[in-house]
Amino acid sequence: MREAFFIKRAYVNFFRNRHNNFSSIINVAVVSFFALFLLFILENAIGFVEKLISNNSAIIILKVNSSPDDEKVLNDIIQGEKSIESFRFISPKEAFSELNTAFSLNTGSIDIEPEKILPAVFEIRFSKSLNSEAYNRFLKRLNECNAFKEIRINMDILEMSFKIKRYSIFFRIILYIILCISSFYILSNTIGLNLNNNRREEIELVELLGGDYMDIRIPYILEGLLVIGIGFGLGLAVAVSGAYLFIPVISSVLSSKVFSFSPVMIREIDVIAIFSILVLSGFFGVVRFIRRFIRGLYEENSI
Amino acid sequence: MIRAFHIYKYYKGNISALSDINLKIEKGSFTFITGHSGAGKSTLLKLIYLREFPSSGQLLIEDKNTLQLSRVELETLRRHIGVVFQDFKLVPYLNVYENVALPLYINKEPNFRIRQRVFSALDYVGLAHKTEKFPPQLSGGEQQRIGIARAIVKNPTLLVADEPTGNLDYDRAIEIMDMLVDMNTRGTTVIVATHNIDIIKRYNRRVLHLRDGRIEEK
Repeated sequence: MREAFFIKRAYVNFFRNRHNNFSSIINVAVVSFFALFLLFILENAIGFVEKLISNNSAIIILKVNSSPDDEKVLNDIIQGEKSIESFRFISPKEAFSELNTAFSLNTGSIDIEPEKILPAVFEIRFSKSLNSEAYNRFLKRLNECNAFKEIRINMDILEMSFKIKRYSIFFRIILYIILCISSFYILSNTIGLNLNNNRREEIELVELLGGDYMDIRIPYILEGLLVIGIGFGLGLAVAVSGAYLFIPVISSVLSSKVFSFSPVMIREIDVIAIFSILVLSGFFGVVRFIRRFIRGLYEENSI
Repeated sequence: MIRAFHIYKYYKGNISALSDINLKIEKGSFTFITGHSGAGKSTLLKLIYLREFPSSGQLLIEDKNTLQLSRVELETLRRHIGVVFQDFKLVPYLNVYENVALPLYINKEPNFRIRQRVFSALDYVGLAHKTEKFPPQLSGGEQQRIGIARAIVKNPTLLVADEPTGNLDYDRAIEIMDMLVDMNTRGTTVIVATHNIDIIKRYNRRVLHLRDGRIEEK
């Protein structure tokens, strides 16, 4: 009964102030759309760089004539490294045989000992979780190993990936802060605009009847949630539609005959995070506004 | 019930509304507050029903200094005070039942008791058959009776009426005043602000006359 009463107050007032609420819904929708779409672009940028790293596997070159024990130590280090997805040991004999096959050479009559002219190598493929700290740690451990000579990797791409990942965290934090501020002020201003004379009297009445802060705020909080819910729903719908339209474009731009990239859709976790931020900061926007309004009721004329 | 010691009330611009008000209103009494427009009747009532607070002096309601109340104490004390306004202050989009039930929703009463008390209050003011109507569908007299029902539904110890008959014709005004007097005979302390001399003469109760923010008891 009491709950139904609050819901009725929120529902009736939502429609009574539909013009203000509609413009706020559009504001929330625009903010949500941009936030979701920016994260969609960011996720695909990161995914693309990860794909590049994964496709550019590194080669660890061992010293020629390394002892089997030293090779085993190196093997154990590589095997224990979490940021390596897969690896393969290529002995000098295998390497020599692969060279013969690749270049169609006939070296059968020549007396060559591959161990003396070719080093053994490990071909490794990094996982997506690779970051600069993990890479430097791994490199340090390799350097401590007797059999290790050098690692060959496309450092430009690796460093680019580290930078993008680092900046993406800052980008997310800034985006979330902007969302907090936007939602806070959008709802705070909406409730401010909606506080026409009738509703001011209603707040005053509930106060005089002994209502606590929540009795006064609940209808406004519900009204704010309705604005956020509808606005976010609209923003999400447009962002998802936009993403569906963009996926083939991204896919065609970033793929070639030897390299294919499958773009990712807007992630559920981003949807939940953005919605939660909008709801929480909107809630605080309403609560703060009503508290200030109630204080103002007593301070506006009296001294 | 109510004691005031040297109360002053100023508004911005150093406008004095009340000066050196001293009064004592006993529990279960009926008091008229009268005076010309701008004499300070409404201001004094606003201090009593805790809409505003004195600029200086002490106002004790149920032995509690209104200037020293915590937020929770203020809410609790307000729940013991019923207020009837000249302009009714009914919520236009709530029906009669919901308007009367408003104080009980705020008191967080159980649903069965809300129903019982609302019908009892509406019965008392003779409008139990209009629960589904909305305030704009009612006459001025009926709206004021709803205002009284809302004020008495929580069984207040103090009932404050600010010009309750100001917007009504004489017959409707007498109906409303009879209800307030009847509430007083049931033990509720009643304070009525009015400038209607006929009504004051008719009921012959204690009268506090305000002139330029000062009390002259008659």
